Amino acid sequence: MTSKTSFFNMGIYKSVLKRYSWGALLYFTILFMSTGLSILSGGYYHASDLVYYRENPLILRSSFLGFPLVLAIVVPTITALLVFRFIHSKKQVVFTHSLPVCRKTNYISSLLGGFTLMAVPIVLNALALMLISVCGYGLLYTPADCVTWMWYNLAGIFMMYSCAVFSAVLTGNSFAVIVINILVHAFLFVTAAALSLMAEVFVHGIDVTNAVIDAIAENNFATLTMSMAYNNLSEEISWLRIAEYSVIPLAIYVLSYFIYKHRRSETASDVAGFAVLGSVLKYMITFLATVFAFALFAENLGSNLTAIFVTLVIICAIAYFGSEMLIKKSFAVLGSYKGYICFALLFAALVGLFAFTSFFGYETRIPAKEDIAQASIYNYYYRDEMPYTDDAELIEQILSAHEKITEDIPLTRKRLYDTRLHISYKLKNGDVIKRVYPTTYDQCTEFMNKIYENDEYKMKCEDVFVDDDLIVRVLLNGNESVKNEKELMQALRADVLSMSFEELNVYPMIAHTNRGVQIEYEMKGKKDSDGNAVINGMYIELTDKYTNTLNWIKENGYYN
Amino acid sequence: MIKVCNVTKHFDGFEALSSLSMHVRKGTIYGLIGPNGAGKTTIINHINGVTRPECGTVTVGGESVYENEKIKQTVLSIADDWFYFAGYSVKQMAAFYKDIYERFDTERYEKLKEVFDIDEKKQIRKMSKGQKKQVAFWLSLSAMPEVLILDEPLDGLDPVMRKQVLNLVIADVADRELTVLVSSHNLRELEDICDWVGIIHKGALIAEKPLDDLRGSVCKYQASFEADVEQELNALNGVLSISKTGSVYSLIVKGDADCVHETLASLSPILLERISLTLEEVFIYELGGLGYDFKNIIF
Repeated sequence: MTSKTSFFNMGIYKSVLKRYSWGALLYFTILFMSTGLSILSGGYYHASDLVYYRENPLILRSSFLGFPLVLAIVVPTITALLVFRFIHSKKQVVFTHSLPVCRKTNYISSLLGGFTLMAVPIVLNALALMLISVCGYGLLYTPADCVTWMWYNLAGIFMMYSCAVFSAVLTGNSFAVIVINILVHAFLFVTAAALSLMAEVFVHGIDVTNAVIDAIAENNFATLTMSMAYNNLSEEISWLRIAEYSVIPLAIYVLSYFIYKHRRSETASDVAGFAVLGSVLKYMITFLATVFAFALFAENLGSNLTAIFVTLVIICAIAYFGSEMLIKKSFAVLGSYKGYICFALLFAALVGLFAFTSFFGYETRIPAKEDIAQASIYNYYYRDEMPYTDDAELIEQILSAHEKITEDIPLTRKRLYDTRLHISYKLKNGDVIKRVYPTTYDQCTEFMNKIYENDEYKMKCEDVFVDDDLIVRVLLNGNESVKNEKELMQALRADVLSMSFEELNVYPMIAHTNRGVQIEYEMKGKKDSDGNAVINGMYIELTDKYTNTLNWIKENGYYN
Repeated sequence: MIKVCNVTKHFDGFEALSSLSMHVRKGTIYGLIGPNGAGKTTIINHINGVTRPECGTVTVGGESVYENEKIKQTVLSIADDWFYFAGYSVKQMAAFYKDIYERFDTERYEKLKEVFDIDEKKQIRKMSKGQKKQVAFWLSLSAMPEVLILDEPLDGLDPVMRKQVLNLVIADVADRELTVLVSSHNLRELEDICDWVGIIHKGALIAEKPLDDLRGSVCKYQASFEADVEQELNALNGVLSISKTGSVYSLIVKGDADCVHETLASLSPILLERISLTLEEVFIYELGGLGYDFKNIIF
């Protein structure tokens, strides 16, 4: 029969505070030096800035809040490492678990002890900042701003401490706490980035966007903590978001308790607190290292199949046996060669499927003409909106270009890669298919010259046809303003309409001139965070093909 | 007081405890002996509630120890490598024990201060191994446990302090029926204090008896004969080993010693003497029978 237990043990709590009070003192000192002391000695009372401080309190500016929030990322890891060190030391784990304190009580008391060690310096600093504010520095920030400063910091450590505690209870090794904590925060992010990198090398036609990486970053505690310093979250953050970021750490604290409750004391000093964790960690580290290293190397290997597979074998070996050494804390790891062979074969099969076959059908998927509502083709590197057309003849030309480009899929994008051709379809069922193919100028020109025979499509593609109302200014050679902008724009447009794709986009790279027109225009429907229109700029190099424009310039006396 | 029933434990596939059962009676001193790696520390960690048994039960006073705060209030253990918080003085460590153990007796702590002549304000980490051991006993005995588990308890203590510490423990056993479980390789020391002895080998308890019974169960005969009786001696039942030095035979006998004595007497010995074995000899012969024999290696 198990006895009834309390949730909290004052003895454990007090011992945590007593043992690590030096850390709290150090944290307080660093915080105070970077905030209060900095304000007292910084000379921030410049009359010109005081109005600005009313809207942007000094202590909530990134220059002031950034460093404390960096500490709010680092300090919880160190705290969890120290407070839960008793499960990482064989001697201490026996002592602690032989005490008449059950694991639940021990966990809660230690957890709260650690949190108190971090929270007290923050609260004391907030009080010190308030005192400074009421003692003559009230124009820089108000006591209410100190409360906001305090909440930001407490929220940071609350979130980060949950992951650090999770890492601490997962392993039996103090060094591994740091590694696992980094993996907890970075694994998804790094995996997404690594896979993007690899996809870009091997999956011909993939339209790599940062959407997934951005979504992961937005939901990452570390980036969220830092964004509190660099964005004014108080205006944007919703109660739902606050609830979300309160509940998730709480869930992690509860999960950590169950992990701690079920872990075996004898795993102290082992990297893996659980038998299964050893394998999970090993393959996580191996996978990450392999994907990243292989993607980086493969880009430079070209299409040499032998070189690619030799590199793959070597990288897999280094990643696998390296992580095995880390987990086992031993160099004698060659005995686990079977795991390496399995991993290398699986990885090679995955790469092979992506790189050498159309197994997933991604690279060669071309929609049927009757399913397409609109289509687009262009070779812009960066463009927010593709120039779509619903012209049946054009769509057929785009499909034909797409078919030709997928006839010979290169092994890696390294081969014959000058530019990229963006092909996109809006299907009648609402789906969108986007592909970006690395290609040569010759191939790109071959396709695009035909497409540009359609003036309507050309006008959609070329920025020079932007609405006159949106043009902010037109400059010759980047600095000379023009009196009659409309006339110049008409001449430019007439020239563009008369030129082929090659003359417009490839020829200027060969025929360098010292003449050009800079056009700045508002991007339609785009506003920045202050509500102002976003300004875009384009530079047109005036080759000898721009006959109308050059004549206009001469006639109006701008160039000799 | 302490009952261990069929406890099994594996570490990475290795069977550290194999369906082990033992019983430590209230108010006794129980010596747990066994070779290195036999499972002594593992069973101790089960009894003080550190390790959860894979199967079987470990009870103290009839209640399971694991995660039982009430029972663990009465169980204290002193490991060979006793843990203390780095930077703590004896006084600070005593304050911690007082916070944790409800029965911590401050008055006793003060009294024991006179026995252990140690500066209570001194940091424990700056003390010698023997002094640290003294602190461990000081604090543990002040916590007034009902069960005291000692793993190599006297290692590092000088002879005077060994006697002093043992006297304190024995006094508690006598005065308030303290139950003591001692694991040690110093069998000579255990022989002086233990009531019961358990021998553990390869995770199983191979013998558990009162000390006197255990010593009585194996005896040594020295005998000398005029005639050549080697064949008769080899045919004797219960003889663990026979050796000959000059004309004197030494026989280690386990089991029915009286029967062996009668047979030997019938062989008209010139000399026939029965000698009691020390615990150390019992230990060696018991385990020798199980293949844990020392090798006479001469380089």
